Amino acid sequence: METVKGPDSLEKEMERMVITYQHDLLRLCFAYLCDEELAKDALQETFLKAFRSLSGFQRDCSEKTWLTRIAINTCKDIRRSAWFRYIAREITLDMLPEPAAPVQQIDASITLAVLSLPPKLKEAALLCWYQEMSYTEAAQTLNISPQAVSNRMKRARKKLRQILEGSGFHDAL
Amino acid sequence: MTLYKEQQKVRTAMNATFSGLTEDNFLAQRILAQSKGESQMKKKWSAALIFAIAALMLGAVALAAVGWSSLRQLLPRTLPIQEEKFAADAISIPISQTHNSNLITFGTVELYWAKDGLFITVPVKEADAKYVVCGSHDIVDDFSSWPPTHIWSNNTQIPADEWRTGREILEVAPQSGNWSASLRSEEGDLAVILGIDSPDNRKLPEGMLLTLRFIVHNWQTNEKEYVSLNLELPPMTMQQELLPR
Repeated sequence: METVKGPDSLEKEMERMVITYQHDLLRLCFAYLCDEELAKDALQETFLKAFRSLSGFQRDCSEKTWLTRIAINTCKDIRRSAWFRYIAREITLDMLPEPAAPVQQIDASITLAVLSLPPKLKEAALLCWYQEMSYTEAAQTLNISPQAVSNRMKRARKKLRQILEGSGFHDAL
Repeated sequence: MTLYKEQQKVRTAMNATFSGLTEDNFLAQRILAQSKGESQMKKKWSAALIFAIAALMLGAVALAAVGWSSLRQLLPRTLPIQEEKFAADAISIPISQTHNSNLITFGTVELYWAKDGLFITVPVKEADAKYVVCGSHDIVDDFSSWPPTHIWSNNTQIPADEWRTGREILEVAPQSGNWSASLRSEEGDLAVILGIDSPDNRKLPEGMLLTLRFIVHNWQTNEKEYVSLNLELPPMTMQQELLPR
């Protein structure tokens, strides 16, 4: 017999998900949008959409994959807006929020390099490197094949090395 | 370098760089509160009224006397809009409309230009009876499967397969403008509303060509059609703000 979750248990589950995944998803949204306020909006919208769909979540993928998929689609919607396109989106260090502690130059360079990758490569890099997903999980999130993820990662690696060598960091990755 | 080592390097670097990003300790409560507020709102208001309220909050009104015709039927009479204040020339009907779609047809587009932006109402119909159109806002978000399993219809979620009655669903997704909404009349006709927050105010008084872009996505075949709707606008008169903020 199928167990139907009541509203109270759904709310508790949503609270647990927010506590568990807010940290990583906020950073993912920020990496996608490079704007703190937009990232917070995207994060809230992500959890709101997740809560609305929670009772129908079939668990055919992990929670993290499911939430990440929603977050990426939400960020893509924001990126598609005409307003977003009009804003200059060249990434510089001063666009990032003031870090809590001094950041080593190599760390800043790696971050800027990842953020400046072309969108599809950046997407794959954020999932596989930053979110520590396997190629299979990343493929499920992006609705592409694992082979396509692998190809994007190869290109991302190559591009990243070019960028980092240009900044004087050889063998950084 | 192995994938694991790459992950460690990138994660360490990005976490250090992003360490200034702070989480919201009250996010869960806000989401639950917002969700409760939305479900109460859906019971009381039609989607048309939600849109109209959003338009009012923008400080302008997306409706005017001449162009009220199709939208008027969509809105309940309880709206606090003073119709007599609307100028007769507030709406401009394009001189010509052309498009490149094989799947959908467009009704007469209505436009309203106010201080806060350009508001465009685009009636949409399927070109063949084997299809049925829906707006992106009609979809019940369900990221666990494709195609989406449910549609909003009369503020109720119904299974998409039941709603489409054997026809193929064409989702009409606007790709132009700053925001969009979709509305249905009581007869079930779909209109897509687009708002452009900062139209080129130098060109509108002289008339201009406006191209609106849509993606028409067939849920059953997963095919997509990239549609351009070209409007030749006559000179338009900007309306004053008609409602107090």
